[in-house]
Amino acid sequence: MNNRSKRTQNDRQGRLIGLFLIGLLLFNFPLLSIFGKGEKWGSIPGLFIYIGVVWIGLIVVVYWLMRDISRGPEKPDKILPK
Amino acid sequence: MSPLLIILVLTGYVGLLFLIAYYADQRAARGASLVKNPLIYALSLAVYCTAWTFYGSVGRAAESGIGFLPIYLGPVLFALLWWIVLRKIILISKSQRITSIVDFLSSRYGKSTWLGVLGTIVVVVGIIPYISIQLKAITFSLQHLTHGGKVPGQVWENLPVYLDPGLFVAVALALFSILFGARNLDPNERHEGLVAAIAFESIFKLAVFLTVGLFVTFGLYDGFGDLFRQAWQFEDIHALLDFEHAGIDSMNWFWLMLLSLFAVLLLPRQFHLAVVENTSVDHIGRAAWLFPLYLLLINVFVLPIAFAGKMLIPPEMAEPDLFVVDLPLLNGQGFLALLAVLGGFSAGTGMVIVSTIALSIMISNNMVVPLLLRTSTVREGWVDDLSKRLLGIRRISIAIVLLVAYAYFKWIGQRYTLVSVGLISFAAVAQFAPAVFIGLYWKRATRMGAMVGLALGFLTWFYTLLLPTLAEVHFMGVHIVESGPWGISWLRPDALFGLKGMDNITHAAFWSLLLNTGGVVLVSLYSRQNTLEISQADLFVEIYKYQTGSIDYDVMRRQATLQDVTLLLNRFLGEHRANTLLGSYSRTFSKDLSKETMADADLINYAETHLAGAIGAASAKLIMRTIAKEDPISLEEMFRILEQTQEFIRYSRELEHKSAELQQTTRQLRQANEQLKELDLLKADFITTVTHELRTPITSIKALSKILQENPDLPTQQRREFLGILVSESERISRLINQVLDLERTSVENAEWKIEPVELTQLIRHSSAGFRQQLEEKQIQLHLDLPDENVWVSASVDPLTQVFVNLLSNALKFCEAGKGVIHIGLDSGKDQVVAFVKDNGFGIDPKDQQTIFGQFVQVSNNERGKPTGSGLGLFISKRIVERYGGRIWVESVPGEGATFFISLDASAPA
Repeated sequence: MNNRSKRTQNDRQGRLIGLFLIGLLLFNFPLLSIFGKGEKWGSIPGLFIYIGVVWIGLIVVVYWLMRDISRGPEKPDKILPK
Repeated sequence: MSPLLIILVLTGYVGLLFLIAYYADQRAARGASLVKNPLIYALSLAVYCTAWTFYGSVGRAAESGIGFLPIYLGPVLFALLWWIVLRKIILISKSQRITSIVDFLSSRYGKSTWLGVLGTIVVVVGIIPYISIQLKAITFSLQHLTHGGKVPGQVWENLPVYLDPGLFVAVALALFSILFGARNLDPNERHEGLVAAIAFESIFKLAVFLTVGLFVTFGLYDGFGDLFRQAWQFEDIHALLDFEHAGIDSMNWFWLMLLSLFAVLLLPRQFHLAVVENTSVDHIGRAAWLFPLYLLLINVFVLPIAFAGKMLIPPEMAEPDLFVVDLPLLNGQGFLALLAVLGGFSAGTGMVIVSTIALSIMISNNMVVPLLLRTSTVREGWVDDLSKRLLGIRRISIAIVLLVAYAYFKWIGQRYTLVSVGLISFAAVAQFAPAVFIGLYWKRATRMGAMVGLALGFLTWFYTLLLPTLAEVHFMGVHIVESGPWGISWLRPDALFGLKGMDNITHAAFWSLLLNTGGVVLVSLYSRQNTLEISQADLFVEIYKYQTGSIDYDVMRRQATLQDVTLLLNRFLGEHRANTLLGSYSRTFSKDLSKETMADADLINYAETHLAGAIGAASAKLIMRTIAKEDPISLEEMFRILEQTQEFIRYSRELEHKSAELQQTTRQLRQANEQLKELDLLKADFITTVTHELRTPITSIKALSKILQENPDLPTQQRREFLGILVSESERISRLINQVLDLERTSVENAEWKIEPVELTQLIRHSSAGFRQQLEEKQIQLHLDLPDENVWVSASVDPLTQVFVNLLSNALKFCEAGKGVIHIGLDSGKDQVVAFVKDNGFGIDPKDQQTIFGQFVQVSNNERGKPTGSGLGLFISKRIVERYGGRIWVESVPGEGATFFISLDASAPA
């Protein structure tokens, strides 16, 4: 592993952990309770929309963070048992 | 709907699954794998969505609004960390040939047999309720389909066991599972056909659920807006979106999320598909967002279906867990209802098949085989037949697991909703989390710690969650739950240690995980690891180090005959595979095995790892022990090997330190060099100035002598004048040369200046005496204000005289002829003596008062022109005074004169 890919690897790990913490915050109380009183946006429940938007947001960001791995060529198993 | 049709459709569906599996296996055999891609990997992970998701989510939503969601949000969040955590687990498992979550645990903690047995018990007991809800969901969906909805009186429940369709479902599922996973032994526990079938099931159940959702939302209603608008008319539905009414609180929400976060990796089937069946770690990259996307899609219609069910199905017919089937059924869509049952069937079978296969692997590899191998009486005969019996053990385990699950469903599970039973299992597998995740990052976690933690967690789980469900069906006294055992109220299973106000899952999860984690950490801190544990811990925690292959060592020095090793491999892996393995070994390590008679430690390790893939780490270790002579490495040696790494680190730290020191030295040298350069410059300056100073008088001497030589008849008066100038210029030269010599003397650092007591009044009188003539010539008055008694200072006579001569001649120069007054005085203190020379000349500008003590500094000003003198006098004086540890300074008001002060250390009289 060269330095560059090692660096991006560490960057990616840091970003993923950050994203996990953000997700944990957004999907939990007390933020969730903002929408926990039966609010409606139009006729759709606010909770429904809020969780949906955060969920899609996380998917998009992970897709973006992982795009070079997802696109990478198929590699055979590199790990052989000793 | 006629039961025959339903049975036909279900059979057809199962046939399709077998076809897919068969096709995938064929493709794999041809080397054109169907499943080695990230999409199939992500879809196979969706085995997470079982009948619980398919039926139970809607049921939960009908009771508590979005209370069904934490079960999916936990995995969504965890998927963000897969690239870090799951990747590490997969790399470890591939290098160690791990076959199950329990194998992982046992292998991490020194290939421990007992940890494997305990883990297997936890998983099997813990997962039984989960499998039972699949049976329940499938059975009930069939009942609804055949009876056209919920039937009052619950017909099938009252049938005797041997006529209960539920039992047939269980038996059928056992058969599928055996056919799928326990037909033959795969040395790597990889089942491509199974993965393909599961991926297909994932697509199928999602498609069906979306179809039902679309039918409800857009068929029965006019889209989301319309459905929700109508739902708001009902007070009880509206209340579901209010957390308080729906009974959702932050504690409950958080703990459900945490449990499901653990479950998505630690559930036996999840671990099996995510780790054991994984074909490339890079697949995680895409699965990390595909899997959350799948979960999002399968959850979009949960709320709409639940609300529609509550609105459209009359309360006496309502069975919220089966709204997915009942909504189409009661609206005349028989085919869609059949499809829905099939979707639920696919979700349930997927879970049951993979779970029971994973369980059977654990039961055989981590419990039955190691325990049998440990009893020496059966060992001899058993080893030979072991591989033949492995399949039998697995098939029997599958059958037993399903029958126990059926029993749980028949006598206990029926009274609870799907989700509430499923959560019991989630809490059980979460007990693996502390030992697994702590063991993944903390080398000091010991086997004893893992055992104690897991046991504590499992017992707490059993006591707080499983026991109450057993008590309610009178397996034991209800009073234990209601008032605690022996009436001790703080031991009540639902309010342990008096902790009340939580629902049962939160309560149990909190206590069990607290005691579990505490047990792992504390016991680890107070127990020791044996060599195998240490090396396994290092292997797991530092997997990236081993992956690059730079560090390699043996824990055991083992020896066995090559023949024995080959025999063993043949027996467990088959002759063909054994030959392939040995061939690849001799190629990789370039060893010709045909010439060897003994197998070295490398080959034994290699064989053990591959055997572990077939029968588990603990079993492989025990099997190897039967043929290999062991000479375990001592703890000290083990530490030494591990410390080599430490040594490298220390060495590189030392290097860093040294290089810092070198930098420091370089910096100092550079500074010294700068100083030298500066000095050099000063010296050059000095020489230029001196030569310049010398040239001026020499020029005038030369010029005047020439005039005298060429004009012998010059008037006497002029001649005398010229000769006077010649004399004074020569004096100037000799003075300058003297001063340069003085300077040279003072700057020779090691010149031996004798510091001795010097009587100052005498010295001043003496030095001023030489000026009498000059004073008279210029008509300048000199006052000596000296005390009568002697004043002693530390100095030496000659240089100090020089100082006073310099100061006096300076004062003389600056005083106007006829008006000048010079005072020399003394002020002797206890430690210090201050002498001063005061004149009333031009004075010194404040800006010059500092520089005046420098080399060749001459204060000039336009009115007076260039002063006479070399500009060295004060510089030399300063040097001399400082040499004695004294100080020289000047105070002056321009136009009113200047006072030079010298302070010197007082001395005892000589």
